[in-house]
Amino acid sequence: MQGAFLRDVMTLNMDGRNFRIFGPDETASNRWNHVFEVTDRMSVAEILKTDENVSPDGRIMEMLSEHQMQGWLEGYLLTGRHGFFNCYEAFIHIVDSMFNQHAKWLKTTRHIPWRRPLASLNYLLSSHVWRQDHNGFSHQDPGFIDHVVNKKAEVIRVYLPPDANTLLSVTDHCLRSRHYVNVIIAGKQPALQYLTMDEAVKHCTSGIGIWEWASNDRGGDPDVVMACCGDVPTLETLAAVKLLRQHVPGLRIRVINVVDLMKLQPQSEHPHGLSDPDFDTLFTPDKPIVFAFHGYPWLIHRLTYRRTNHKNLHVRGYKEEGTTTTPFDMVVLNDLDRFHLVGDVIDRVPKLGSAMAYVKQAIRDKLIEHKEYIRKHGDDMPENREWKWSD
Amino acid sequence: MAAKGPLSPELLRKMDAYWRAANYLSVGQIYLYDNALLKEPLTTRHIKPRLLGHFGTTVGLNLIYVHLNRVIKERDLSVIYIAGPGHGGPGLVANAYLEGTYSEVYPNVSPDEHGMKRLFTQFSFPGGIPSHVAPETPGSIHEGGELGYALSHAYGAAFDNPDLLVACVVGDGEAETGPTATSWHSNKFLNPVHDGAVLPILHLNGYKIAGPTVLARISHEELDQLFRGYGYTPHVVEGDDPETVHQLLAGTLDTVLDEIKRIQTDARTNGFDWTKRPRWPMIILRTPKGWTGPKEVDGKPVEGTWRSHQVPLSDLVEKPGHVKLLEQWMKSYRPEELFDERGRLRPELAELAPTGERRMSANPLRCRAPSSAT
Repeated sequence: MQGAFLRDVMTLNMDGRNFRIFGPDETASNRWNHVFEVTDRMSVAEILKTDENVSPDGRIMEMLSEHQMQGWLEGYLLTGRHGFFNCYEAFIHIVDSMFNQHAKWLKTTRHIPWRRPLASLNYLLSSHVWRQDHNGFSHQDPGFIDHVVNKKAEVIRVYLPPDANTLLSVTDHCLRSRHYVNVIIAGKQPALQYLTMDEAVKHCTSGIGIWEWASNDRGGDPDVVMACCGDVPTLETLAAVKLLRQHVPGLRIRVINVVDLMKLQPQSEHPHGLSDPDFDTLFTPDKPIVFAFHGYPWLIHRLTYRRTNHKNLHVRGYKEEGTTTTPFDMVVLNDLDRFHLVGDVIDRVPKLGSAMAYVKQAIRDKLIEHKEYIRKHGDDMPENREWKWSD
Repeated sequence: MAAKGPLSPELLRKMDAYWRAANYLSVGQIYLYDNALLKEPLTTRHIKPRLLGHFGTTVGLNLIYVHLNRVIKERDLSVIYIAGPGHGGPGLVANAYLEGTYSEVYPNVSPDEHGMKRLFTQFSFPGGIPSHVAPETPGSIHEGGELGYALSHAYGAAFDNPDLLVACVVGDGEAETGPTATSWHSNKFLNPVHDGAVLPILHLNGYKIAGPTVLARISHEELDQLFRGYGYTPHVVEGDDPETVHQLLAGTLDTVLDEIKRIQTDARTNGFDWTKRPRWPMIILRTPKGWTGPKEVDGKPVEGTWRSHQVPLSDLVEKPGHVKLLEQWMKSYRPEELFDERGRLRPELAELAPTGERRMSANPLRCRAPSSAT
């Protein structure tokens, strides 16, 4: 979907010659194939008959050096043009310090009146930590955003769209923006679609919001807030909500999805940050929050430590467990799967108590079944693999 | 015997003077708080209490600048200058000041004695400007703080800018980094039909902060093979006698710019054919670190060694002899020949610089607004 969008951006700017795509070698593997309908990989070296989509006039810059991609893109942006960088999430760390230098440049130039704003530096990190079942542990590291949020709030933005329509909306916004570093994290695997395009635009413009269609607490306080940020955590959260509906019918659940990570920071620290009253209304001042996050869990604590309800915030995320295994097992290894999330809710909602022992036993059994199944069949159980939200 | 080369004696004299003016202003920025034109005998009260800056690379950057100015004027080129050794900030600031851009952008740093005093005081000083080719420097798109990215920035700037020449100085320290190693390959991604040109200038002054550099300690043959292997045609300019180096550099610049023009004209007339991928020219410039600075301090050699990396003379309060050395050093540039009584650059030198947007410090690309994406 995003590939088709970028194809059209490329086409519309073909005459202007002011837009290029940069990436080590991942334009195809990140499923941006659509751009090859209108341009090629650029090379002025030898081109063989067996090569596909390589030409001296191509506008897709690929060389297996993240340094080179970052450096070229910066030079291109610094002289008034536009671009997009796609990269493995784990390996974008290679240019951590180049990002630092560019962010410093943006921060300083923002306050120099004779310098005009630059087009933003846009990253798409799409081969991400939760979809390395083929590559394994060495390819898993969601820590680039931990690094990015160190930089001045006025120049950095981080987006984790949960589905294709939100990804399109975020991409559109980032390409139009000026003088930021935008980091977009979204998986390349075909994923579920939750929002219509209109809903997606509204959700991305707000950056954070209640998903009412998945919640059942309207008209009163929730018993628990289930928050999610990132495509895979969003899927697991929704699956956990379904399990809770089934096993704990009276439980009032509020589902919150975060697209714009910086919404979590206080308003005083980031221009996108929610005000404290808004944050308290959304996350409640005193109810348990189970937060399923794409990256390292402490980043969420770092962003929210001053919020009223921080003491009730329980974050699941990547805790540095991985190997070559199944996609669902990857989340299980990190306790981010739907079954662990159900357990987390049971453990934290005071009124649930010992009546829940049967539910806990059922989810434990599910995890044991999962392990046995994948070791025998080499793939996830159909009920986990093919799960979809249904009303 | 006069050195041979394309510069007439008159032009050679003027270009050397312009270079000395940039060097004088560079040293002044590093050291002086007051007495900008050295009208009074130099004393410690004219000197900054904390000396923060880098002299070692600066003279080479200034040399390249004045020579680029000549070819910009003669050939009406659009050029931007990327200083990989960004710690040579005083040099780029000095040149932006000499060609007038600095005072246009910062009117309080006026082109006169008063402005020169401000130019000197503000450098690496609280409330002033940073020591590197920072965003505050007109003409800069590259601070050169963390080393390694000059050449990839240069190529990024050249893509889709067919009329632009990016002169990119790569220091021999920076040349040891991984990102620089990979960036030499950018020439396989530059299409002479619709991209501009990059002229890499590898500046070998032999040392980093305290140790020797790799590329300065391999044979000339090995160095030549390295860059031929990367697909370039290296042109070596080497020496420590200013007149000789001026003539050599001027002749070499004429040669490489003719070659760039030939490559572009051929591709733009006949189309691009990868079987005839051009070998773009590059320059290897080998001049002493801290060139024109103090030869020896406290009995130890300084010019041409790592000791000139930052401030060749320090401890000026404790060592009155060093104040004398600094004064002799600055006067060796003969400021009275370069600036008039009121501190203005003499007209015969000012006219060496390009004008308007042809000045490297005022090239509109440095801060062109992004075109709106549709």
